[in-house]
Amino acid sequence: MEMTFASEQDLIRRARAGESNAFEQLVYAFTPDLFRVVRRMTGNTEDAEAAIQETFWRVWQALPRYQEDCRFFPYLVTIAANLVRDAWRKERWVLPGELDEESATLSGELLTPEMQLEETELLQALAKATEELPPPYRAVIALRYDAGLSYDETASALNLPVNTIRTHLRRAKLVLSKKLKELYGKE
Amino acid sequence: MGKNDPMDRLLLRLPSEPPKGGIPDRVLGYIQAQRRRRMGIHLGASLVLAAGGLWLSSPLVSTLAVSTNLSGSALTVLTEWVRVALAGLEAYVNYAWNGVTGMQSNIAAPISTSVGLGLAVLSVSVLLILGQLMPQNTGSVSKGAKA
Repeated sequence: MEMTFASEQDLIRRARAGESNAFEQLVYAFTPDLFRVVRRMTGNTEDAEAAIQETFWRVWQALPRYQEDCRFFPYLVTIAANLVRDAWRKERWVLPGELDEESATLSGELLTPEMQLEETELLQALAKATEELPPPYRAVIALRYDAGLSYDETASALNLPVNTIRTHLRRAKLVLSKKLKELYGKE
Repeated sequence: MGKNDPMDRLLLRLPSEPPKGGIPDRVLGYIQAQRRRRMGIHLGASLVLAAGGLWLSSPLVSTLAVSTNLSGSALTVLTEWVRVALAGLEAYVNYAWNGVTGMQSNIAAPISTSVGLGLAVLSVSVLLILGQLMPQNTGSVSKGAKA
């Protein structure tokens, strides 16, 4: 998605004015990036696609009330995150037990030079490990790294305090570090 | 995101499954289906409302029939009106004018609360139906495969 703020706002204005083609362009432009984020959050393609469809439907309904000074992608991601979170709520928003806070510093020192040599493989393993994270951690990773949202935006999208987002992220990284450590056996 | 945190660097480059082809088309199809569904619900509700309005207004129709020298069931009244309408525009206008003026002089008193309410409900339902038939603000979404 390579779209300037001005061009996305122009498309939104035209969509609000009744140009169906403008809305279609928004859908085509933002679906790939939105898919990446939502796919990471949901962990499966079908749920991701369903969430994306519902997200754009809600956006279409809300277009007349859209605030023009807002960036469109964070707005889309927020709606999608709420949908995914609502789905999780039905299955309960489960968090793992408290982790050992002392080991939370591990992530920074975990990756040895050997591991960095195998980075492609490492990234694949990390992606797989991310899919196995508890939903809240997955959500924070998707919003921070895939969507590129700030802590504030992530907190707003998930309707959680910023400190909780920071804690989720720290713990998520800790879990991932431990998994990589198990896989690569480097202590 | 700490620039020196290796985990941050990895997470920023996390591979992801490429989107399946046709998702935007299916998104647009879904929106189109949802719009049709919503329009159907609104039209259905408006028609139910209109039926309620007609039912509440039925005393007015009867009174109007009396004032225009018509008698019998509502169906008879409607049939007569349609017959007159088909007989020619001028006759229809005259007929309607006579009916209205006759109604004004003869049936002012009998209009009950239910008739007033019925007319109000009928008006609202007609407005809702017209609102559904007007072009939507955001236009129509034309593409799409699966709903």
